[in-house]
Amino acid sequence: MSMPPRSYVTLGLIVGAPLITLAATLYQMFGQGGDGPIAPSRVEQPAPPQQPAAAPTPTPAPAPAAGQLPPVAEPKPSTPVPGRSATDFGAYRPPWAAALEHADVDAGKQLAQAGKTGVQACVACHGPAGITPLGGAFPNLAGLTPDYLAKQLWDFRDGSRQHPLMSGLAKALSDAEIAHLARYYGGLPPGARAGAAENAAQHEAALRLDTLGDGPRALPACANCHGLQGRGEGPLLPRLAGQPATYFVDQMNAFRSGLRQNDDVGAMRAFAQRLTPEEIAQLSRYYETRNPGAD
Amino acid sequence: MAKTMPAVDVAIIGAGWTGTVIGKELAAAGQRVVVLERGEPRWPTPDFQGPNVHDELKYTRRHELHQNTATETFTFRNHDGQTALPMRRWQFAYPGTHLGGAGNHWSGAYYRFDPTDFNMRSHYTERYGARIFDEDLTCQDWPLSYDELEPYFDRFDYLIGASGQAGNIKGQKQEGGNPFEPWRSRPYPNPPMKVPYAPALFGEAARSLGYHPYVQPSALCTRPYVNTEGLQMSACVYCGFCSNFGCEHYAKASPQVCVLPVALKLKNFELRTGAHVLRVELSEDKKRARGVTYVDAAGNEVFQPAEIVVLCAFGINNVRLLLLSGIGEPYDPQRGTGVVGRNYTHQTTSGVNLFFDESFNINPFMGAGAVAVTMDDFSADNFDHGPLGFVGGGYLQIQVVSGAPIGYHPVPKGTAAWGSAWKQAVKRYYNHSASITITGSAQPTRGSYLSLDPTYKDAWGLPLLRVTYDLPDNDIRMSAFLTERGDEIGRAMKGVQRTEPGPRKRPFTAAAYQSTHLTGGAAMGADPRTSVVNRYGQVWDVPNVFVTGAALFPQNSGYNPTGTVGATAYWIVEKIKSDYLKSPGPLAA
Repeated sequence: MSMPPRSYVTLGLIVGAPLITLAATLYQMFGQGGDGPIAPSRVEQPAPPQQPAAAPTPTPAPAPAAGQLPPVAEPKPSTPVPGRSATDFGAYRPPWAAALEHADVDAGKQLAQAGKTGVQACVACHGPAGITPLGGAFPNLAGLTPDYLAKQLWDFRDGSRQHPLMSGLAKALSDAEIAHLARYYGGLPPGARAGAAENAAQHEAALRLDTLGDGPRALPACANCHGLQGRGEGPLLPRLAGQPATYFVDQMNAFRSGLRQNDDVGAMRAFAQRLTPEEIAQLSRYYETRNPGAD
Repeated sequence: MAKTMPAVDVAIIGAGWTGTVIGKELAAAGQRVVVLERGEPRWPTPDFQGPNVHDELKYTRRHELHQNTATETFTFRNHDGQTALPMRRWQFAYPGTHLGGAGNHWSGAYYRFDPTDFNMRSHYTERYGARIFDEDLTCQDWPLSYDELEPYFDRFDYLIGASGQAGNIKGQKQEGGNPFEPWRSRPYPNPPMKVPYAPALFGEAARSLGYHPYVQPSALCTRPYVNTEGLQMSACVYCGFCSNFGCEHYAKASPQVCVLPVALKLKNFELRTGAHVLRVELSEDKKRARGVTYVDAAGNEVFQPAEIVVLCAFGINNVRLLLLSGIGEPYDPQRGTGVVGRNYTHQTTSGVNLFFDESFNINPFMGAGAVAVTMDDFSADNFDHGPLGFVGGGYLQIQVVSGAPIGYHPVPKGTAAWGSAWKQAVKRYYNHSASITITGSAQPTRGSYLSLDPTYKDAWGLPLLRVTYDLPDNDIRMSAFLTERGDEIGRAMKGVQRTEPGPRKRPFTAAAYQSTHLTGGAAMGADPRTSVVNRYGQVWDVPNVFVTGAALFPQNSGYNPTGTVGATAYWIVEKIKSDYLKSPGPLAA
């Protein structure tokens, strides 16, 4: 009696081998070598504005050449995440919940478009309507849930998620400002990207991981938590559909290296470490081309 | 004429927890092992991935992973004076079928039995005098102690990635754990689960009344974990689809996740699915098993010769296999002779339904099979039984499982049973109710036993197993006491407007869910006159047959059985490896 998932391994090797060669070639052409825990994306990061202008011109991030993704970092085993005690069963309320209740969409819009002293306008990197240009390294924010957005800014502030730009920006934001921004971006329509929703069958290996996972590595389907074709689920499981491939790879790198530690109980850190660089690249292309959907 | 397969060293019946654990250990020790599973192969990938596995109709209502009652069921009656009838729809047992068995579709509530469960008769006699036992009770001491079994509990904890917080490490009480917990040699491998709202409210109220509530230990993993076989588990996401389902997240411990991927890599381990075992074949003198006969997926009879046969089916199905094979003397309640089928019992459960103010949103769909705040103040012998006049006890808890829409629509008593009034009540109470669950021990009596039915047969023409059982007076008194305590806690809970205590009453009905923890029938013991197997699970009369699982329990604890089932499986297989393989024959105590 053999394990049914074995056939997927065979299929994976047939599909994977040429892609490994391709990825390895790209890696040698563009990669930085294997030692660094995280490869920063090559997207130029916009300089902070000189002066908080009334209506700054958004400076969209330049698109890298097609097929150019950051190399995937070596995984580093994460330390076990501590848990609560067996006698601590008091009701848990996330720290941002109270602020979100009193958030003001207009204040969020103002902050997003104009920034404030020491805080660059969000639109500079995240696009005028919370959707970034194709090929960029910054995530779409439009239509992500307010809870998810608030949690990320909270986590940039406390260091459990890190980014050269965002860590500093978030530290300059108050609880209320985070909530305003989260409400504002959460209410924007996610929109559809150019080139989105190309046939999922073109991404066979990624589609399999999304819908079935991989038995031999105990990888559950991505869709179990991230929803149908990466559309997101519940208040804290983010939409992946339509996110730039570079951003996706950067995040998987951050999970693999432990630079990003704001996943619940380390779930994503563990999954990211069990994926191959080729699979991460394939998943990034797959999700980039999914339609974010109406929700 | 049955086809005969090449001989193996070990034939194992059933690919659940005990079959896979024992099979893997013996194969790793060099034995040629074949595991015979009557069901089909089912794996987390692809079979259990979302959204397909989240199907209440298929898995819960139509029992996708449970024994198919159309081909093989039980007959049931309350006492000898009745004629048992075959049951097509029952709720008192969910014997697993398909790969992983009940270890695949279980809820994951994970306890160890209390030390006093193992010396039930002598402990209570010593503390309260022999008169504490009603005359009809046949509970007896195990032939092994909690202390002897502790290393095997520990081993199973780390195999399945158990979550919880230790209350007692090597006799040292631990802050933040259960103060009544029996000693354990190491902490749990993973931290306790997060707690939904209703269990948290229960915990606050229980604490305010001076009790010691804590988060229930579980076999639902709470963070990424690599188990003792090197296999990966993931964190539970509290989707609520545990009980009766397979887990898509590799979070609920199961043979598929925790053992089989490693076992199947061993070249002398073979898993054969679609193999429905009919009986163990004995030598002419009935002193030795020659192997087993099964029906394969094509309907052909196959004989599998083996040097050792291990019965690893669902508890009471092991008893049926013994009876069908002519192993051991069947129990006769009239004459009080024989042992096979003796000391069968269930679990004495009850509940208190709670109905809340509409401002308390319980969100019953946010839960998991084993996420509960529970308390052991009235478990085992943690309280004074002297003035109460019964033995045993149980835990009280609120567990939020799933609020599944077909099965879950609690309404207060007196509500119309159908029509618009019923619908309005369902709407009013769906998100504003919860239940305190009380899971208690169960004592066997002279009249509770398992036997072959004289009339009804299965699809292969073999007699069905007949269950004769009713609740003893002892357990009725216990249930009344525990349910009153539960009602007091319910009334102390915030937001509760109405409580409906439901202590267990006679007659026992097999059509009602009241846990699915059927135990006994092949009791482990020190005396062949009152037990089927010795302390190593070895059949007294046929020493190359071993029995595992809950059939071994001389009586049922108030705790869920899987921890003790897993520990005894390791205990048995270690003895087979260390002694039996070197010198096959009856094992000395």
